[in-house]
Amino acid sequence: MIVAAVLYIGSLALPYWMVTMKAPTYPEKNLTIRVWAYKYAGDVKEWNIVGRLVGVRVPPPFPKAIFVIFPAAVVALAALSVAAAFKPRLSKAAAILPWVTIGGLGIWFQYILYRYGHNLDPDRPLRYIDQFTPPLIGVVKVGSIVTYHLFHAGAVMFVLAALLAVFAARGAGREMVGGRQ
Amino acid sequence: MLNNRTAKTLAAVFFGVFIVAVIFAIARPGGPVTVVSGGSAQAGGKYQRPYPMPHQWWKKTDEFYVFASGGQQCGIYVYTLPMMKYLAEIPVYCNDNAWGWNTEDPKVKKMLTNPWTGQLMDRGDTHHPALSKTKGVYDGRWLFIPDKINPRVARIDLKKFRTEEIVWIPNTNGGLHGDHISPESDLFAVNFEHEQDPAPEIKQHLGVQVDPEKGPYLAGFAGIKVDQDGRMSNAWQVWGPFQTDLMRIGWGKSDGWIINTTYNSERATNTVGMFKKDHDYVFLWNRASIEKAVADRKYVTTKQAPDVPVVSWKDVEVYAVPIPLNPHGVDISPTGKYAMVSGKATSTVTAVDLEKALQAARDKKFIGEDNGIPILDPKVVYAAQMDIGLGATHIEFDDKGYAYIGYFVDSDVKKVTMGAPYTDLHKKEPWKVAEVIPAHYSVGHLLVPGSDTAKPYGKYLVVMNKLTKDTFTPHGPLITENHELFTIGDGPAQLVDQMPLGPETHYSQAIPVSLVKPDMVYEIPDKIETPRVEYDYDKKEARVYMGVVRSFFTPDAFNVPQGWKVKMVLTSEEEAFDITHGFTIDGYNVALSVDPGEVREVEFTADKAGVYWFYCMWFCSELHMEMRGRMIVIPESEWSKDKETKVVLAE
Repeated sequence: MIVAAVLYIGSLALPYWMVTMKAPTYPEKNLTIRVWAYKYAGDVKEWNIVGRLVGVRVPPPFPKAIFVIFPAAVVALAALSVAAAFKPRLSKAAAILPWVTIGGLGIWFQYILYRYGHNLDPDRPLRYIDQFTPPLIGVVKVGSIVTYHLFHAGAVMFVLAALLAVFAARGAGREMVGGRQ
Repeated sequence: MLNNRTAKTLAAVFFGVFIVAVIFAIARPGGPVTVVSGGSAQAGGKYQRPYPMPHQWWKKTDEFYVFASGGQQCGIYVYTLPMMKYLAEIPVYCNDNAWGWNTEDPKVKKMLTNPWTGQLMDRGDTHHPALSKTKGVYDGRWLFIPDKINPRVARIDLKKFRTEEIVWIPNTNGGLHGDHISPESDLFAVNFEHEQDPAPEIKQHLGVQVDPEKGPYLAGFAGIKVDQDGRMSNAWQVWGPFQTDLMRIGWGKSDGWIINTTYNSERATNTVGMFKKDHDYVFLWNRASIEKAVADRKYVTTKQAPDVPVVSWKDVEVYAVPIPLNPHGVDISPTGKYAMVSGKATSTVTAVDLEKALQAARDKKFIGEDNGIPILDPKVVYAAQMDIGLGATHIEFDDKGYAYIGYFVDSDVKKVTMGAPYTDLHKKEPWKVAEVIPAHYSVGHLLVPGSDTAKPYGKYLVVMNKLTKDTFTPHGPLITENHELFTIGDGPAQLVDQMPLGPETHYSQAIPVSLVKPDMVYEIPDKIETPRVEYDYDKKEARVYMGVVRSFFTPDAFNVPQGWKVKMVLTSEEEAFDITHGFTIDGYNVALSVDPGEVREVEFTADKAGVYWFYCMWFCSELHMEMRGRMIVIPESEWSKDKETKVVLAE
């Protein structure tokens, strides 16, 4: 549980998700945007110059409060894990809540991606490109432009921590509650 | 021990890997190379181009940037060695539409305007580029290039490959020629080739009368101080009876001495007169003595330039070495020991031992004087005088103890063994012709990378021919020039390329690619001007602050009253390299580039009423054609304040 807590806190220093664009007119590098628990950063300006063609824009409308709520939730999970290390009755909660948190975030983030692809600028030059939903993980092709959507190290650490919490809870001889992996 | 099944599995895996590796080796770009053209067998595969051509193959072969003076082209050509790939031009003294350097930019206009007459001087003739140095070797910071037509010197910033500064030189009408940079780049000096009837203050200080119609006239050279940031300022001028042609500022054994030639010690005013005497001179000027004369206030200033000291040749330490009939180039060997002087109008090249010359000066071994300048005894100071060809022009040096002498009349380059200490390198009898290298045709300057430094790179010889004749496919009466590339070293030189390059390179310098680190974009300023239009009714001036980014001008339309001055500040908000925009107005003779992150100013008068489209002149994006806007010039009689443009910014 202690290790899980360390992983939760450590995950805050790393991006959770990234999208990288490969385009023939950018031989020098892919355009990449990374999303941390509390911010997003990367080639946003250049992304939007390219995105103007198809009418997309980073960021799509979203409540900025998520950049406070989610890190707070991660810290709370870390605190819960530490507490569970000393009070085994909290192990069940420490094993279940991370999956609820990350699952909820994933569903919410997929919704944001949906909005990204469904709020196309009506004045976009390439109007033949219809509305679309970028996947949380996967590949999107628009002509010769290909984008790759991936989880990043922060999410991996979070899931690792959540798995550790599950095993720790099972080790405590309590009833296991599984989550999606 | 492996069991049978495991062994079979491993064998299959190894075989599979082998097959994949073979397929990969055959299929990958740049794999098997088919040679379709190239240089000599001795030069080897390096000078042979692969077919098919892998992307960036040329770039990967580039070893040196060459900065070639453009002569009539007014600026600098840039190409690379050894593949002689034309890269770019750096505009300096003329409008250059291709490279976005036009006088609609007030910064360019100011640099090209004579500060004393206010006249825009947009003609130029560039001859001798000089790369900046630290400890006597190239450092990749700046390139200096004077103009021969107008008295000015430009400094090019090698971070941007742009002319950063032009300093104008007072007291002379032009005719600048030879120049050089000191080993620590703190002094740039340039010769006055064309004699003048200078300001009365100068004549009075020198104690010399000049008949404006008959002469004899006066000349000299100018010292330009270069500070640590490269900024130039007129430090001093030395005036005297003789014009000066080519120049080197010494290093090593000749450190602290400015060495230049004169071909007109006759002080004549016509061609025949300049050939009257059997000898002219190479002069040795003690830099410290010039600076001491300034410090001791032994100078005069002129009304034109009250802050530029003009020193008399009588007040400085200078010696003359006689050189047969009309010398031209003077070049200094890598240790600074020899000044080799080409006898343009004779069959000789003279090697002056500068160590011996300076000792002879201290020992006062003179054979006379000319206009008060002591003449050193040639028997003491000549290391050699070689009678080996007609029309010697310039000399370059390699890293193996050889000098390369270009010959205009003979149309060749003579590779010559130098004397001690270079005999240790080539192990041959000194001052002899080791090789004759044919050139096409009529050699002017030569280039061996690093020749004017303490550590020449050798390896390549570029011959800048004055005539091209039958070398290239015909293209009308005004024929391009010819740069010929040879590989050099211990063995015979090999011609590996000939490149046509427009009129007319005089001299070139080359620096390793690794020493130059150009920026690919400008740094976008912290504070970007908000797009807006300001109207100043007192000055009758409209100030337009415009943002530029793919594929929009913001604002994309603005109104101005007819007859007003329009001052624009264009800010590129691009961060991606190679995304240059243009700003060009139909019918207004306005055209400029705006590089990524660059802030560019434009000034013109809106003197014609009507609707004028402006557009992006550099193809920037798939919406490049649509990247345009309107300037609407409204007759003043129809103008009212409600016609002022208010810029509404989108989110």
